[in-house]
Amino acid sequence: MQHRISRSPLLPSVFVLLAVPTGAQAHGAIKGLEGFTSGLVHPLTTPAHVLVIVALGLLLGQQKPLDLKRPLLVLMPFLAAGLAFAATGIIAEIYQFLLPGIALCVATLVALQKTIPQMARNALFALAAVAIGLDSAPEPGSAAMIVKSLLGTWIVVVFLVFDVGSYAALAGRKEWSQIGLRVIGSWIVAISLLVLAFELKK
Amino acid sequence: MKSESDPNSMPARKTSSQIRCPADAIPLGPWLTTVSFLLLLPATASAHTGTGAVGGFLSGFKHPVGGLDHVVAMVAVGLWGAFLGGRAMWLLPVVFPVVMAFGGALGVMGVPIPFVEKAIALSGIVLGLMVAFAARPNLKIAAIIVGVFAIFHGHAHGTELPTAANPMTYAIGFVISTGLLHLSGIALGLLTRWPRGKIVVRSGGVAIALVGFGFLFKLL
Repeated sequence: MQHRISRSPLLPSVFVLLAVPTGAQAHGAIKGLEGFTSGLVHPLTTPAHVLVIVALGLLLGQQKPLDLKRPLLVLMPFLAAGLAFAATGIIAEIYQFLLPGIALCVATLVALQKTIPQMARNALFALAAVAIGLDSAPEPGSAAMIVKSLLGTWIVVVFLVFDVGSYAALAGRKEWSQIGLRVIGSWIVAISLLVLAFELKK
Repeated sequence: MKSESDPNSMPARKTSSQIRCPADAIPLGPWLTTVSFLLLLPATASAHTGTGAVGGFLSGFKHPVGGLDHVVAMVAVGLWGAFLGGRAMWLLPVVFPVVMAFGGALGVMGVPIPFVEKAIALSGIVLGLMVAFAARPNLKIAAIIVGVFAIFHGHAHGTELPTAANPMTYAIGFVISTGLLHLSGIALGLLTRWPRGKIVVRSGGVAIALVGFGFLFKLL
């Protein structure tokens, strides 16, 4: 009997190489980026934003009946408003408890797998969108550069919430993956609790 | 039987993929190639691990695996969950990080809780014995037992948190590490589907309880 693996000698090497960790590139992701690209990367490199985005997406995908459209239609203008406030400097800084607090609330709903009324869901999405927008003040620069940066942030946040929501909805079809979503929700709850404690200690 | 090939001709050189082995042997050629690749890999530099976002994550990730008393208790939670089966397999690892984070928050804010180290050692004993005896209490009781011990584990971590680390990424690393320890326990606990696996898992419970005893009586 011939082992199948012997026909492709590089296969084990590929698997092992995939498992090898890559070196950390400290400060490599943001330096030198500006304008649209900088805006695109900003939410991905801000852990508090990632937590809120993932929690919102999971909540979106868990809701029954599934409705991806309306919460996103709420998210889009409120996010734009938050970004505009941040860019104009009307609100320079947000309350540090806000983002972890929103992540905690949304993730608790995910962990409990609760379907909430549409009004409450829309309110949560609006609050989260404004908070992310206000916390995404662009670097000082020309007006065109700032608009491009804000546009990048707006696009990536909307896309990610929709994306996570779609995958969560797909995953929710099987019982074990529903549990997986709840486990992720509980992890976000735990992270948010710890971060809130850190903030309180300050 | 005489070979049809020319006996004077040189045999063709075989490549690593053509190295044939006996039917039940593992072919060595691909693995030799793999080892050669690995020898060529450079070592990664780990500068600035103590500071910034990456440093915070690494610091948080390493914290739960830094103490044997914590590790065995986390694994025991997963093992016990797998033993209880059904919803318990996932409920306990959902309850533990949330309650542990609450305990951690108390620790960060300096709220004192007595007998933390003894309670952590006791958690190894109790959870280990639950696995060893394949105890199947009511799910709520199991969640309460796990939750109570989680507060002590979280508090101990909370009071030991480094102040220089990035709080957000520290918390992310810390919770993911804890969750992965639970998942390791669950993965090991899945061995209970086989009769011999049950013996292995219950023996693991005995070992965990012994580690707990070791910490309680300061033998470890």
